[in-house]
Amino acid sequence: MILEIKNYNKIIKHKTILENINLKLKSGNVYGFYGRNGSGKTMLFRAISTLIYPTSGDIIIDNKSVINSDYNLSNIGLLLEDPGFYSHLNGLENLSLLYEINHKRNVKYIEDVLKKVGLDNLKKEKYKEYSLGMKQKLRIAQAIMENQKIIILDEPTNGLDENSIENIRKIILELKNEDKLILIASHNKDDLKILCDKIYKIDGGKIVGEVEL
Amino acid sequence: MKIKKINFSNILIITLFIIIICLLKLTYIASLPSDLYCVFFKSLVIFWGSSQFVNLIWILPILISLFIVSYKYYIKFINFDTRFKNRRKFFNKTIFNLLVYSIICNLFILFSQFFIIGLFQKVEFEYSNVLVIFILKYILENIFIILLTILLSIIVNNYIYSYIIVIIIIISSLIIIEKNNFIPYISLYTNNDINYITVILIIFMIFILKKIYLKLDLGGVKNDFRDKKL
Repeated sequence: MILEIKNYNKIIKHKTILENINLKLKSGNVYGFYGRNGSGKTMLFRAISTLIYPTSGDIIIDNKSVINSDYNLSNIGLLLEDPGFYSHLNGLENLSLLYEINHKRNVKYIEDVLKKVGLDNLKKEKYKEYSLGMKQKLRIAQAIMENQKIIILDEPTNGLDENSIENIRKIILELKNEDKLILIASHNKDDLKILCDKIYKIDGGKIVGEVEL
Repeated sequence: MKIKKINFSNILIITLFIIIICLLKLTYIASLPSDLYCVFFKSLVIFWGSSQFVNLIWILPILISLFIVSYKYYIKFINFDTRFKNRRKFFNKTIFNLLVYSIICNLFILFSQFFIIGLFQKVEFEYSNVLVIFILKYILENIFIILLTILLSIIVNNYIYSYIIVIIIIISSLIIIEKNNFIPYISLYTNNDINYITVILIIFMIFILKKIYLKLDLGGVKNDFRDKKL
């Protein structure tokens, strides 16, 4: 799978949010995006997942325009926006509801996903009772649980303890070995150094270049 | 595994609000016309008179249902889920769910008032065609203001402003126009017949909403979970 971003520009209220972005990303790789707050990392991810539309330019996945065609966006796993978890349901129920949008119910599989991210011992606790780290693990679980070809993770280790960070890094590397295309934005230099094949620096909505951290 | 999507604690809170409103309504119910069965039941939910305090009590359940449905679906619309494959499919599914949820929510608020006040006033609920048409009209007019609130929220990108604007439009129309058979929502206070202008406007608003939504930039600081209190 090849994801191409071609001459992508986005202007909102006369302000350039993304400027002339050109990237060619291939599956089986982890790409990191590094930059200060407001540099455009999250906007770039929003652009790829078509939450925002370009002022000019295009996003092409396997020679098919994502902007100008009804591309199947369920190929993209997203840790970006709030997935709208029900506060009165537990993690298993919340993930099941999302999983059932495109698949038949499979409780055993969802339990395995919860176990993978380290939430297996919390079956009865409701989402509203979760800590910040637990909520983050559940968001990661929903982003990776459907065998999506492209996985976009915006600050995946945000709010996690050291053991959990190690576990999530392990999961991301496993997904890379399964030939997924993974995009990560993070302030955590260690995450990017350990996980990424290439790291791009973004500043002022522009890709400044590849960096070594 | 049975997943209970319904949050019963929320229903309990709404029911308690409705009970308080019904108890307040009971104070004034004796002055309402009760000679005709249908007129009595209509008067339980729709009333606009000279006392603004009484008007406020009567309009509160409508504003509650407007808030519950429009806020829930505004949040759903701005949080597009890529699992639905594309925006078009997501919009169609969400708008269908919105219509179903609006009907259920309005029926719940309507019948809970019929039941509570009917119980205190010892009036039994009976089937009547006129009442069924009134209920249908009530639901349609409420769907109209729900869609208007969501459409405004999407356009101005702010829910609270839109909600307040719609309330101002409703109340000022009721004060200024008072009675009109054709103006959407106002006709609810005037006659018992379905207002086809409302039906046409509902279809038109869905069409406009879809057109805007398919080109809309979603996300931003407001939807970013990292900025929310977790």
